[in-house]
Amino acid sequence: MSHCNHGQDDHSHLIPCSEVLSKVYAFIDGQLDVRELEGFQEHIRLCLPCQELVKFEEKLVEMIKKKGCHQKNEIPSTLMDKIKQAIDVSSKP
Amino acid sequence: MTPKEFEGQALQHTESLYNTAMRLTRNPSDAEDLVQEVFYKAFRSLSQFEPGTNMRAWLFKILINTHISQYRKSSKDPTVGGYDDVEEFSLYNQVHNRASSLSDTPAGILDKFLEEDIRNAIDKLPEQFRDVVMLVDIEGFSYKEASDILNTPVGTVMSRLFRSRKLLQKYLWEYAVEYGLVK
Repeated sequence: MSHCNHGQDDHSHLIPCSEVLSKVYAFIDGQLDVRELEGFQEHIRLCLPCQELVKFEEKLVEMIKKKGCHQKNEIPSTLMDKIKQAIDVSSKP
Repeated sequence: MTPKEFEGQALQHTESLYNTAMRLTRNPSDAEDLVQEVFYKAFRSLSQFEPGTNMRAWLFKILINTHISQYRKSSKDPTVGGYDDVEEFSLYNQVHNRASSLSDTPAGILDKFLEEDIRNAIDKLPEQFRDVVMLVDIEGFSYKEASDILNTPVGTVMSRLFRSRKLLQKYLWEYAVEYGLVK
C-alpha cells in the first residue's frame, strides 16, 4: 500500500502500511500482543490515511455487531417440549 | 454436576441456540430439531463436560458440529477456496476513491445501511465464513473459544474473519450501488 507519505520525517522505524492493513482486525478485536499493539498504535498516530482506514474498519465491525444480530425469533412452545423430551430420553440409562 | 444443575444452566442458552439454529438452517422446524438434538447430545455426554468451563461454548460446539454432520453432508466444503480476491476488496477504498463525486465519506456510507442489509449480507456469506462471524461478532465468543467450537486453529479463525469482513464490504458495496447510494 502506497498511500503513506510520512517520508519527510524519519519514520522509517514504523511498521509498513501493509502490516496495518493485515492486522487491522486483530487490533480491533484486541488480539495483538503488547509489542504489536505498540507498533500498530504508533503507526496510526503518525499516518493519517491509515488512521482513517482503521476508524472506518472499527465502525464497520461495530455495525456488524450491532445491526447484524439475530432476528428475534420467539421460541416456539413446541421447542420447549422437544427439549424436555430430549432431556428425559438422554437421562435414561 | 447433577443433571438437574446442568439442565438449569443449559436451558438459559436456549434462546441464543435457537436463534443461531434458525440462522444456520433458515427453517423453524429444522432449527427446533437441531436444538433438540443439541440438548439430547449434551445430556448424553454430560460426563464429558468439565464444571467450571464455558458451558455456552460447549453447547455451541455441539450445535455447530451437529449442523455440519446433519445438514452439510452433501455440500463438501465449497466455501474454503475461491475467495482469494475478496482480500483485496475494501469498501473504504471504493468510497474514498470516488469521494469527489459522492457527498458521503466512507464512514458516512455505513450509516445508510439498515439492520436488514447487514443481516442479509451476513446470511449471504459462505457457511464457514458466516459461522465465524456469528460466533465472534454476534455471539461474542473470543477467537480462542471460536477456534475450540469450530475445531480449527486460531489462525484459521482470524483469516476467515478477515475474509468474511472483506466479503461483507463487497456485498454492502453491491447494495449501495443497487440502492443508488453511490453511482
